[in-house]
Amino acid sequence: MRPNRLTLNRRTLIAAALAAPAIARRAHAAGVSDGEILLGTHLDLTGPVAAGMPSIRFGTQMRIDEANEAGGVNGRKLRLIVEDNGSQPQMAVRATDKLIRSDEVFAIVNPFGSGTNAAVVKRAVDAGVIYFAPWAASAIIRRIGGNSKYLFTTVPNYDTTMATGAGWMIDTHKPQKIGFIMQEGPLGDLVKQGAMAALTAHGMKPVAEASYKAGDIDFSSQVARMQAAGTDLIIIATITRETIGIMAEVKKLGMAAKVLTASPGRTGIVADLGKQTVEGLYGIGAWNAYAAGKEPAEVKAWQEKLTRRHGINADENAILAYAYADWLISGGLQPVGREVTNDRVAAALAASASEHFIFYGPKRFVDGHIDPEDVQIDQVTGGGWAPASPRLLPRKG
Amino acid sequence: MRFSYDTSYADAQRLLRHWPGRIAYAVLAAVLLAGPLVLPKFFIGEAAATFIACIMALGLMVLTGFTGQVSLGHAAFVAIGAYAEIGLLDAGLPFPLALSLAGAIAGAAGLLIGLPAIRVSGLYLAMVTLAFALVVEQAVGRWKSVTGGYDGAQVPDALLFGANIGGLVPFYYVCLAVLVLVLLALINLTRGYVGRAFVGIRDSEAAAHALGIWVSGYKVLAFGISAAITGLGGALLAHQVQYVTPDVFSLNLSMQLVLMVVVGGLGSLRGAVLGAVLIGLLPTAISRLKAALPSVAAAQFGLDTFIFGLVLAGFVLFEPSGLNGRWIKLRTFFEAFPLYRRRTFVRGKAYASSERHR
Repeated sequence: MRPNRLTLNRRTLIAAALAAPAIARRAHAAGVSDGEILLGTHLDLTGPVAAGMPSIRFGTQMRIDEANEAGGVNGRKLRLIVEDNGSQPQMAVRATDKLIRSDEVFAIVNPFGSGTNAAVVKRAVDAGVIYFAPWAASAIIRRIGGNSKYLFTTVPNYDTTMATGAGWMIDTHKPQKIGFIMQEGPLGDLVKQGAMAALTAHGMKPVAEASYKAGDIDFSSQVARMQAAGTDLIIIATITRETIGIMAEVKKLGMAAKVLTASPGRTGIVADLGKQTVEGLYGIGAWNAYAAGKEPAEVKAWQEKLTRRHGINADENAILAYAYADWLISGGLQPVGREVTNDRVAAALAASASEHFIFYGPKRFVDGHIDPEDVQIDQVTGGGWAPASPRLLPRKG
Repeated sequence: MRFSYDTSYADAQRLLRHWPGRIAYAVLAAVLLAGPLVLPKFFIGEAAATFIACIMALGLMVLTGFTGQVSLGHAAFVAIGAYAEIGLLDAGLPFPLALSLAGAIAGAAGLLIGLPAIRVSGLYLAMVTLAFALVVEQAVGRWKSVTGGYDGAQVPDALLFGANIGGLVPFYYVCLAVLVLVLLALINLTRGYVGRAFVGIRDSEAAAHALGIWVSGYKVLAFGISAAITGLGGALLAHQVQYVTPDVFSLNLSMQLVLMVVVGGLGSLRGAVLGAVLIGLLPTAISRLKAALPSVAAAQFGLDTFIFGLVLAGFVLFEPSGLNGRWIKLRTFFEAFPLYRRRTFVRGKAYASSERHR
C-alpha cells in the first residue's frame, strides 16, 4: 500500500482529479492522439546481426511513410520509434520498457530476435500493447505471451514447416540414410522436432546427428560424421553463413548427399553469397524467393522504390517487414476508423487477411498465428532459388 | 584544506567524518527515497536496473579492483544467481530467503572456481574465467530440467509477506535496499583486516606474503565474496527481466561489468557505482539523443557503438583513474579553492616501480 493512499487531503484530491483524465485516455488507447498513432520496434542495431537490420527497419518505415503520404490512417499520421536490443534480452527489456512506459506506443511491430522477443513479449501484451510479427520462433513466443489476444505471430513454425518439407523430400527422393546437423538453441530444437516427426511417420531414424554453436565457422567434423555414416540426405538447421559453410564442406568431400535447409536458410542472400558452393541445395520456402534479375515487374518496382528512398538493397527481409507492417496498417488500423483501441484493432486483425505478393497465397490469423503454413521446396539452380516442388499443405496431426 | 584531528578511535572509524559529506549523503538518500513518488514510470524501472548493475559491478570490484584479479567471466555468477533464485522460488521458498541463498550458492560456486583460478594470474586468469563463463553458458543451455534450456524460464513473482514486490515501485525499493546493504558491508570489509589483505595482495603478493598474509586463502575468499555479491545482483536481474534465457548471460554482460569497474576507477567502491551508472545509462542516453538528431544521422547504423567507444577511449586516454579519480580531483579543487595545485595528483615515480615486484 502506498502511503499517499492512506491520507485523503485536498492535495491528493487535486492530484487525482488532474490524473483522472490522463488515466481514462490511456485506458482508451496508449499512443493514439488526435493527430498521431505511435508505433515502436526493437531491433539489433549494435549486436551480432546488426548488418541485417536496415532491411527490416526500412521495409517497415517505407510502409509507414506511404501511409502518411496518403494522408495518414483515418486522419492520423503514423510514427515509428526504433530502439536497440543488441540481441541481448536485458537490453530488449529496457528498450521495451521505454516504448511502453515512456513513449507509450500503441503497437510494437517487427521486433527482432528469439531471446529478445521471449524476454519482452509478456510485459508488452500485459500492458495492452499490440505485439505484431515478432521475428522469432513463433511457438515459443506464443507460449510465453500466454497466447494473448494482442499477440500476432507471422513466422511459420520451424517444426511444422520442416515436417511438411522433410516428408515431401522422403516421399520424392527416397533417401535411405538421413543425418541431422542442427544449430544449438531453439531453432535447432524445433527443426529437429519437425524432422523427427517426418522420419517417424516414414518409420525411419536419423543415422547420424551433429550440432554446432551459433557463430561457428568450421563444419568439417560435422560433415565428416555425415559422410562416415553414409548419409544421402542431410537436414540442416542453419541461417546464412552456416548454410554456405556446410555446403562448401559437402562439396569439398565430394559427397552426393542432398542437403535440405530449414526456412531460415532459404534466403536470397545464401544463393547470392554462396554462388557455385550452394548450387543444388534444397531449402524449405515459406514465402516467395526472387532470384536476382528474375523478379516479376511488381517486385522489381518495389525494390527500386526502397533503394531510391533508403539507399539499401531490397532483400526478402525488407519485403517481409513491409508486408507485415502493411498487414498491421491495412488489416488492423485502417478498418477500425477513428476509434482506435487495442481491443478493436486486435479484433480487426483476427478477422483480417493479407494478400501481399511475398506470400504464397492469402494468409489470415488462426488463434493469432499465420495460417495456412503452406511451404514449397526450392532448389538453388543457376545461382538462384527455383521451385522444386508444388505447394505443400501441412500434414495435420 | 581540511585536516582531521581525531581524538579517539571511534572518530577515525566513522563512515562520514565531516559535515559536508553527511549533508550530501543525506540529500542523496532523500532523493533516492522520494524518487519513485515523483519520477515517471519509465525512470523508476531504469533506476532499478541501474541499482542492479551497481550491485554486480560492486561484486566485480572486490575481485578486480581490490584484489587485482581479472575476471572476464562474471556473467557466469550472474547466471548462477539468477537460476538459483528461480529454482528456489519455484521450490516455494520465501523471497528474502531465496535471495540470500541465491547469493550464497553463487558464492559457493565462486569459491570452487577460485581454487583452480588462483594458481594462475594476469592473462591466464582472464582465460580461465572466460572459459568458466563459456562452460556455464553451455550448461545453462543444455540442462533443460533446471534452467528451461534455450527456450528460457519464467521468473516466479517475488512475494514478501504475501504482497507482490515485483511491481515497479516496490521493486525499486528492494533493489535500493539490497544495494545499500551490499555497499555498507563492502565498506566495512574494505576498511577492515580482510580488505587490507586484499589490497596488499593486489599491490604485491610477495610483500603480502612476507607480512604474514595467507595469500591463496584471501584470493579464494575474494572470489567467493565477489561471486556472492554478483550472484545477488543476478537474482535481482532475473526479477527485472522476468523471463530468463541463456543469452541474458552472454560474454557481453561480462565485458560490460569489466567496463563498469574500469571506467569507474579500479580500487574504489564509489567508482563501481559511478561506472555502473554511466555504462548502464549510456544506451538510454544515446537513444534519447537520437530523437534530437536529424533522421539521417539518427538512423546511422553503429552510432551507439561509436559513442560507447568514444567514451571509453576518452577515459583510458585522459582519466585512467576513472570516474572516481575525476570525482576526487573535482572535490579537492573545490575544497582547496583558490589554492588548488595542478600537480597535486601527479604520482612520484618511486612508488610505481615497487608495484612491479609481484
